[in-house]
Parts: sequence; structure tokens; C-alpha cells
Amino acid sequence: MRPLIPACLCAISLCAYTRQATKDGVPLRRADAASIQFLVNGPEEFTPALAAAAKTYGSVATAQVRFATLEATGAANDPMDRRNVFVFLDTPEIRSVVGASVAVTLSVFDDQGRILDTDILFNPAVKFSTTLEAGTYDLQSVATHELGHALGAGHSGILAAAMYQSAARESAIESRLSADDLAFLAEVYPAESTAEAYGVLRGTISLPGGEPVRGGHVVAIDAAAGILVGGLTDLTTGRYALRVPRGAYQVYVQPLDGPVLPRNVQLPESQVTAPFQTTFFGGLAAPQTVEVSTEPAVADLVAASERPGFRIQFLGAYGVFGTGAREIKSGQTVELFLSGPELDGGHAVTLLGPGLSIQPDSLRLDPDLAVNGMPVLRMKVDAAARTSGAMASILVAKDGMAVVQSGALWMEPSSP
Amino acid sequence: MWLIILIVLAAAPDQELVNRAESIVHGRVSRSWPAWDAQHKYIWTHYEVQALDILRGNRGLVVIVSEPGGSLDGISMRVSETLDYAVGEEALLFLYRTPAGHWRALSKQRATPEMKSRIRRMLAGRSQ
Repeated sequence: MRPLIPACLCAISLCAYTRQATKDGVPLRRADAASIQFLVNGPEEFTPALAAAAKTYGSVATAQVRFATLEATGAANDPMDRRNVFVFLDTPEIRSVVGASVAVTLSVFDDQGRILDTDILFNPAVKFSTTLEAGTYDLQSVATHELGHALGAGHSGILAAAMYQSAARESAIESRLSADDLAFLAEVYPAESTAEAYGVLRGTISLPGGEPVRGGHVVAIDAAAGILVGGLTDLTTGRYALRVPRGAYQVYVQPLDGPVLPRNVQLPESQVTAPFQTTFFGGLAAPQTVEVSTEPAVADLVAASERPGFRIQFLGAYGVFGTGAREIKSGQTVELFLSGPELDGGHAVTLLGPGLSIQPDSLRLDPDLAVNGMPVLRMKVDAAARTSGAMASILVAKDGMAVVQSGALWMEPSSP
Repeated sequence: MWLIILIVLAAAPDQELVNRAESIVHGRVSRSWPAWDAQHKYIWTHYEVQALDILRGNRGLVVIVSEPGGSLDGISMRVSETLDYAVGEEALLFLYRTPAGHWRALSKQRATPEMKSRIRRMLAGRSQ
């Protein structure tokens, strides 16, 4: 019997993001984080993209993670050889282990949570590229995500995070580390500067009757800076604790009812509280801001148990529709589409991110469009020019109830 | 143009899942155990699933579904992107057979009557 589920319950109890853990709940971490040696068994032309993914982690000032220069190897996917290998081979064994995934990370660890061996296996039936060629997965993005697992990270509930559960073809969103990914690194591999840069936000989420909200997704958002960090409440007390960059945050809790589901973050559905309503600290009408600095900040929330019938199920931009994050080019106007059950013209849409505004009178229900029979809201969004990337969430509200797609938009910096 | 794009892209996931699944089973996990593979290289965790309803394939009353990873003989392996199952859990499983001969799930979903009806409609449409 594989007791991974109980292990994960402990692991996520007091952390932002999610972490992988032993069967006894000890979070996984690397002892060799200061100089991780990965080897490459695959095409030489793939090495630069893999190196770029490793460098993405190595350049984080608030974390002590560094990768040694990649070396070619003939070693393959031996989980017990104490060698960390990117593997691009096609064998029945690899196809069996990788299954239907684009790539997987296999980690061997001891009872103390020390990661001893990591192999990253790429699906031989999947096409990778470094040019976002049609029909391919971006190699650097996939490698960045899998290296996160190699460092002990689980999946994130933030759609534009590198550790979000799924990648889209022809997308490079997961090649960047979001604030949520950086918070994981700061928590597990802190550098000297981490203590000054980060603070702790904690609290308890409960239902009106006092029952804890188990497995609720708590999000701290600094909309002006485009920063989001998410985490899960534990499955016993409803408590959470997020390590976040110091600053001022709105805080909300949302149910894991899609696109992130309990199984995506290794939680047993039967133990997760559902349904409940997405609830903002201070209320939806006037959310309060919580200042996170030296001392831990506290934001307790009571979530209404009734959930709205409407949802956002699909998000579209630039002619591409899907369930993950969409990239928006800053300095441009983009038409945004939201589709889901029971959406209508009476819904208000707010974009929680820097420099985003919906053009007046552009929000409307399109009577000529439907996605799987579901209505479509469309709007024109002006994205102000910016020099750095940022995330935004989409909030849809009606009659005092709301749903949020956390980190659904990634704003790409303008070209110089 | 937009209408076509929206319908095609949004409708694809469920239909693709149905197309790829060799067997679709509504079942309940009754027990699980870890074991080494034949080469003593990888640990796999096997789950005995009691079939409550079979939407595709004829797998009998019990299906053994497997996922790589687990703990055995003092060694723990974890493979990202794998599915976890809890004993007693009930789910709709979209299964395929791996080259190693294991049944694995492409996806597991909540086995609601609405979901099963939708899958049955897709299966009926495909066979016509």
C-alpha cells in the first residue's frame, strides 16, 4: 500500500504552494541544492534549453539553489544510481513509467525526506521544441516544471505558475518562475536575503458553523504588483501559512472545484470541504488589505457554504481557448473570452492585476458564441506597457457571490 | 470563425479521452500494495478496483490499476504527474495498457450519472 495521500496531508498543512513529502509527512528537499549536477542523455541541441531552465532556478537571489553545468552521459533512467539524468530515450519501460504525461520526474528519497536520485523522463511520443513550433511543447517550460519537482515542489493552484498541473502546447508560460514558485524556493532553500524579503501570512478558514475548511485554496494577491502566492488549508484544522514577499495583500479562499481539483494537488476528494464560496478577507464589496512585514500577519476567514451556480470553465485570448493561463502582451489591447455555466450579461468582471482595464461598455454576453453549450462573455482589455512580467486574476461576481481564476493571465513585458 | 475555434478546442478533451481509453470503468478501490517490477528497478503501486459499471471493454469484475512509485524495502520512489487512489475511493477510470502490461488511468473523474451519460453518448456516437 502506498501511503502517499496521508503524507501529502501533513506536507501541505503549513506551507504556501504545495510540497512533496514522505509517507510520514516529512517534506522532500535536496541536500545538494548548492550544486546540483544533472546529466543529459538526449539530443545535444536540447542542452541549451535544459541549461536555461536550470539557470532560471540558479538566478533566484532569495534561494540557495544552484545547478552545475550540464554534462552529457550514457547513463539512463536508473533510479538507484545516484545520478540525476534528463532522459530522452524511447523504451517500453520509459513509455510505461511516463504514461500519458508530457514528462515525469522520478525521485528516490529517504525517510528524512532527503532526495537521493532524480531522473526526468521525457515522453518519447511527444514532440518538444525550443521555438514554440506548432503542435510542440516548449522544452524549457517542461524542464522548468520538472526541475521544480526535482527540488521537492508539488503542483500549484496558481494557473500561471511554473508548477501549475498542466502545460499547453506552444506556450512558454511555465518557463518563468512566478511569485508562487519563488515563495517555494524561499521557504525550502532560503538564502541570507530571504528573511528580509519575505514575511508570513497565516490564519484559519472556517465555515459559518465553525467547521474548518479543509483543502481550501488560499491566495494572497498584490494586484498592483502582479504577485500571487497560493497555498492550501490543512485537512484537520483549516489553518494555513503562506510565505510571501513583504507587501500589502488582499486574501481570499476558493474551493478546489476547477480547473484545479483535489487530485491535481494530491488531496483525497473525500476529505476536502466542498462546496463553499470564494470569500475575500473583509468581504467581496470592500476587501481589506493585509500588511505583511516582520511579524506574521493574520487573516482569518469565514467562508459561506453556499456556492454560486456560475463558473469560469474556459478562457480565451488571441483565438486560443483552454483551461490554463493565457498570455497577454502588455502594451496591447486584447479581446478576452470567458465561458462557463450560468454566465450572463449581469455579471461584473474585474481583472486583479497591474495596468489592466476593461474598455467601458465592451463587456457583453455574445449571443452568437457558445462553448460546449455554455455562454460566452467577451470584453476588450487594455494592457498597459510594462517592462517586467506579472500575473493577474479574473474575478467574476454577481449578487454578492464570486468566482476567481487565480493567476489566469500572464502579462508579457512589452518589446523594447 | 470564432465559433468553430471555440467549439473544436473546448470540446476536444473529453472526446479525446474517450477515444484514447481502451477501457472505461466505474469502480471502487478495494485494496492496494507496492511491488518491484520484474527487473527490480521500479516500485509500482497496484490498486485492486472492483468494477461497478463497465462503459467500455470487458474487464471482468476486478481490474488491477497500477501507478509507478511507492515505498518498499526501505526505499521510497515518487513519480510526478501520477494519480493517487485511496482505498474506498470510487471513480470513473479511463484506462489503457502500458507496454509493460499494466493498466493505467489516463484520467480519473467523478463518476456522476451526468458524466457517465455523457460518456455513453460519446461512445454511442462513435460506434455509429
